[in-house]
Amino acid sequence: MAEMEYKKETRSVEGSWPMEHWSWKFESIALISKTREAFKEKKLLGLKCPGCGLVYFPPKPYCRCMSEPDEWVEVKQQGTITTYTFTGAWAYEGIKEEEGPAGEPLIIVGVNFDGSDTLTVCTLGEAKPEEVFVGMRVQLKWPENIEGRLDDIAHVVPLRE
Amino acid sequence: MRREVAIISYAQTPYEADANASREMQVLKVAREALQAAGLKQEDRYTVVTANNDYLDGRTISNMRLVEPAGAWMKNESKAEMDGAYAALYGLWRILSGDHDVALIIGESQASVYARWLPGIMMFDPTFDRQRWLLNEASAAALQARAYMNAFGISGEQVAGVAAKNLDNASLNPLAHNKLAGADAAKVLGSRMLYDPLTEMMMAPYCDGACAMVIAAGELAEKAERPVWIRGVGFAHDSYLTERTLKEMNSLRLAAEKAYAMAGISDPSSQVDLAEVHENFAHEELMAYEALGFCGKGEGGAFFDSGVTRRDGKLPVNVSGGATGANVVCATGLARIIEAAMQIRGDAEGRQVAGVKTAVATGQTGPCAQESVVFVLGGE
Ligand SMILES: [Zn+2]
Repeated sequence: MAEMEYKKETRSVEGSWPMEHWSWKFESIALISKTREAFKEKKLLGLKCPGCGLVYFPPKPYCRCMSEPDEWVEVKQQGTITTYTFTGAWAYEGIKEEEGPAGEPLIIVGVNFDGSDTLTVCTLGEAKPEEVFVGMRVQLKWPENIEGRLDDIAHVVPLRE
Repeated sequence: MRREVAIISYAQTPYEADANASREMQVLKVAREALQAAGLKQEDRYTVVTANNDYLDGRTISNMRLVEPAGAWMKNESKAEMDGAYAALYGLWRILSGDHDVALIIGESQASVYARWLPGIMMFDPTFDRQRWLLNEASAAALQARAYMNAFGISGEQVAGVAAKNLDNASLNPLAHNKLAGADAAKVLGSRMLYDPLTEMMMAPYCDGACAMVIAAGELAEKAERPVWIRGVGFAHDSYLTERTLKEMNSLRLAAEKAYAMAGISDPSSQVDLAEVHENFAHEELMAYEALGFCGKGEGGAFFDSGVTRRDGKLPVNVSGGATGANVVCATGLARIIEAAMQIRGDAEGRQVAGVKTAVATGQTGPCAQESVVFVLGGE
């Protein structure tokens, strides 16, 4: 039998297949633009479903009841942690250790912001892993320079009342 | 059910981290073996459903090159791009329609040929979640584990105990690749922290492999040696993980209720002799005990502690090692059905449990087990 020829690549063609990003279509563009404009005014806007009353934050233009959430409602910037995890010393493949604060575990939390019915996945700062608990009250921490980016609402900290 | 449909044969490759065989040759081997065991030849009349995935295969229409090895040449073949348990469901429907009497079901993938963490990121919501880069299948599973454990007081030792049980069970399964005889909870808890509260050994690592099964109605089923009858099926989908409760598996509960109603099962914990469940992470098996009605809501940990689900218990779960022993995307749920059928037929060799008459098998896909299929199987 002839020796098999191995190649690292079978064939190379120019082009891109945007798997890491997304081709934004009408509803998504409108929704993200509206959301980001609201961030610049330090506001969180959710979408309320006319069919079942569910408030989606982050907003989403379709509901499980098959109605189209279309009423913008302001969601509070305080919320409750309903679940959380934190990274270990070992990083799962593809998620680099450097992406967390140096030497500190990255705390990932599911936050139910008051006035919404869904979870936003954020990181929790100003707290140690052993201090986090389900039911913990948190508040959004805006960045110093708000540019209307999705990352503007990436971080929460313990609520100080 | 409208027609009596039986599993009449099956075949599995050994499951390996990096198989020294192409997917086509793995599929050819299991398809040929399953057909032969059913007394069928390629030219006989049957329909084919495969489960595989374009993304994992690195090409579109990934079943295109599987026509020949899958025995589908000049037959009607189509694929389910989720778990092989769905392929089994679609094959069953073709038979129930009356148009076919025989279906060959195949599930396969090879985790060694793709970046196995990547599909686990790509499945998330692209608008917000994917851009945050916080969710992958392991961090999402950890959020699910925390929600469940916190709600019902489930301990890390209980979750670790499930992984240890399955790793030890896998040591009796010559087809499994992730195994550890005598594993205990301390060992599992002591493995590297993945995402708290989940450690590395609580995750079912992806691997290479294929499995196939022939189901039939009519003459072939009646004449078959030791047919395993499909007594009930159910399936259900839940919404995206941020829009549902994570502390319960409601899609699995609903699927099980439908399957039990069809099979005439009113008290699963006494009427089911054995279960094979698709646990991508150890805590999911505890959640499945509850959703399958083996114990009450929130009682999964105590139920495990009672020893009932160990291989010498009254209701052994994942005697094969479950997904922990071998987790092939698109085949894991189908392998659960096959392992359950093997137990009913008495084919399970060193892992055989005595007196299995009724068994349950589950297949689950989607982040945090969003979608569920349940099969109830029975012997003569
Ligand atoms: Zn609605």
